[in-house]
Order: sequence, then structure tokens, then C-alpha cells
Amino acid sequence: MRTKLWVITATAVLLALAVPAAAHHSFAAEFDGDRPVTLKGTVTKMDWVNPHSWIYVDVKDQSGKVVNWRFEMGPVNALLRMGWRKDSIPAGTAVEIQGYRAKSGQPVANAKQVKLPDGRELFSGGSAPNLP
Amino acid sequence: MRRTLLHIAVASILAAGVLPSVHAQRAQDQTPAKWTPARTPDGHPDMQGLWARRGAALTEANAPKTPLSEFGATGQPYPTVFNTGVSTPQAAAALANRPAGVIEPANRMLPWRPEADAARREFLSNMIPPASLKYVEASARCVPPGLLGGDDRHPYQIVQRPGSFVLMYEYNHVTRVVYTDGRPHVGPNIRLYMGDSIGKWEGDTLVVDTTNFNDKTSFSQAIPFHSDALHTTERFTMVDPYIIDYQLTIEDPKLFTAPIRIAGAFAAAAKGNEMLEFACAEGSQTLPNIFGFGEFPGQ
Repeated sequence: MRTKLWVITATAVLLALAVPAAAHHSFAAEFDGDRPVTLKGTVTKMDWVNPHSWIYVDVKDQSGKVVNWRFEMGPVNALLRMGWRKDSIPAGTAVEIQGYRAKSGQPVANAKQVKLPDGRELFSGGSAPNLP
Repeated sequence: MRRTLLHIAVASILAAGVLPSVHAQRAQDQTPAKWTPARTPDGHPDMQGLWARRGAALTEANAPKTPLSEFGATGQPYPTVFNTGVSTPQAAAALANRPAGVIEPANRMLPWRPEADAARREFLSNMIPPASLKYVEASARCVPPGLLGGDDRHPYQIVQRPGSFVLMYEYNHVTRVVYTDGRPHVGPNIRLYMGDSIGKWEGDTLVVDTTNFNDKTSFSQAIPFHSDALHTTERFTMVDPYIIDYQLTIEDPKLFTAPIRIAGAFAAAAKGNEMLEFACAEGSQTLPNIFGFGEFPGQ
């Protein structure tokens, strides 16, 4: 509830601020906007760091093999100001993440949105285009 | 419970659009007829505090079509979600009617030297994804941002003291000390990522002259370099409690045949923001991601 309130508030404020900003580096150099991916899995850890936070998720593929994916998110400073906290997504949390795959083909993606088990959806603050 | 109440209180303030900064509070204490800035002990406008930089970008009308364009990474504004609560609704309202980006030339067709334009087009064509390490943009290697290459999701702090004006960037922990004590620029053999800045007050406007740049930072993702001949002039004028008018003139004779003028602003940061650590090397996995060799360990 607490987080939801923050996210709703942050969203309202953000929508009111139609002003330009630059980002850390090019999304397109690293990720493929034509390869969206939605994955479900279990969080193994989060790195709350700059210039990008990272969320690591164990995902089972069709053969049952578990692959640890990592998703790029926004800088921890921005996430903090958006209402995220270090304990927002503890290890073991089931998540569904939408994002864009890395061009390298590795199990890496840029997170666009993270959906929690109770249906809450949190922005990533990442560098993906067309964020809500 | 206490934390919840605090969050609700802050959220209510945000929702009501009431985010008084120190400057705003000062303004409320003054007669609204004609706003005048508070003064530092040496008599200059007091711009000290936390600010969000907005609009200061080389918005180019004739930017080359590359995969960058599709993702708004040509120096054009990013989606609003990137403005992560640093600036206030009042500042946003004030910014809405202000010029932003390139204002001279008015048509935003940058006066490129053909050979420099060709060099950047060659760079961009090999940058998505980088054909080699040579084509990795500077910011992806955590290189200092230069005057325009910062990530404006992060705030700036101004600190003033007699003889200097200090502009601190949260992004990449850059600090620019602008000396206003009359000293000349350092010698021409000294080349710096953020250049050498000296300032003088013209009335209530601080004019900052910066030279001695190296050629290792970039203007933007679409203009991924500049030359060591770069010379910039910045003008900081506080126009009301929420806005410092910011004008930047770029002269880089190795890239452009004429000066370029940019308009922007520093908008008062919402109360409660503080400068936070930004250790760029900590979580930068860009190179491993691009070249597909795993990730840096122990970040």
C-alpha cells in the first residue's frame, strides 16, 4: 500500500513535468527495441547501484532449465526518488517483468515494468523508450 | 506507522502541488510586486540550493536518421518519466512557457563543418551497436559529462562563496568551481574534462567563460564528441524563486562555422531532495552487455 501510494504520487508528479532530460547512455546501443520480452520468475537479488540498478531473476525455460536473467533498471538515486526502497523487492519475490532483450543475446534485458504478485506494477526508471 | 504517515504527508504535499523550496519560502516572505533575489554577503544574487537542469540540449533539426532517432536519443527530450520528482510543479509550469534547446540558429540547423559532420555520422553509423571499442559512447564508459552530457534526471547544487561559484553535478560527481576573483584562465597546455571556468558578474547575471577543454567528452548521443577548441559562455540569471535562466553559447570552430546558442533553465528542486552518491563505475555493465561477455564481477 505504502509503495503503491508513492508510485501513484510519483506518476502524477511525473506526468505534470513535461520537460526534457538526457539519459546516461544510449538504449539502442545495448538493447533491442524490436525484441520485447515478458518473463516470470523469482527474484534472486537486487543491486541498488548507479548508474543502473539491476534485478536478477531465476526464470525457467520451456525445458525446465533455470536461467538467471538480469534486468537493467534506473539509477538508484532516481529509483529512490520515485519511491522505491532497498527492501521493495526482496529475494524470493515472484515477479513478472516486461522489458527489451540485450542485442548480445545474453540473458540480459532492460526492464520496462515490474509486476509484483499482488498486481502492483512498478516503473523501472530504466532507459527503455515509451515508458508509461 | 510513522513512516507511513510521513509518506502520506509528503504525498499529500506533492498531490496538492505545494512544494516550497528555500527560495519559494523566501519569496512568500516578500512583497510580490517585484521579486528581487536574496543576496549573498558579497551582494550577489543568492542562487544556492538544489536545482534540476532543464532544456539545455543541442536540439538539432537536421540530426541524422540513425537507430538512435527511434529512441529519442538524439538530444531530444526523453519521456517525462525520467524527471524523477526532482523539480516542482511550480517550476514545471514556469518552464512550459520558456524557450528550451537551440535558439540560434533559429531553425536549429546546426552550422556543421562538412568534415566534422561526416565524422559524427561515421561514428553514429558504427555505434548501434558499437562496431568496436572505438565506437562506445563516452557516457557508457562513465567519462565525465562535459557541460551538456550530464544525465538531467539528477540534480545540481549551487554553492557560492566570495570569489567563487560552485556548480556540483550529482551525475558522476562532477564539481565545477567557477572562480569570480578576477584570475585568468590556466595556461593553454592544461586540458580538462570540464574545462577551466572563470566568471564575472554583470549586474545580477553571472557570466561564466570556459576554455581549456580536452576532446574526450561529448555534446550528446547524436553529437558524440567536441574538439579541444571548444569555448563556452554561460549566463545564469535568477528570474524568480523557481527559475534560474540559463543561456549557453557554444563556439567550437573545429566543428561549427558559427556560434550556437542554447536556452535552458535550472528549476528549483522539490524540498526534500538531497545530493546523493553517484559512483558510475559501480553498476555500469554497458560494455559487457554490448559485447556479450557476462558482467563485471563484484560491482
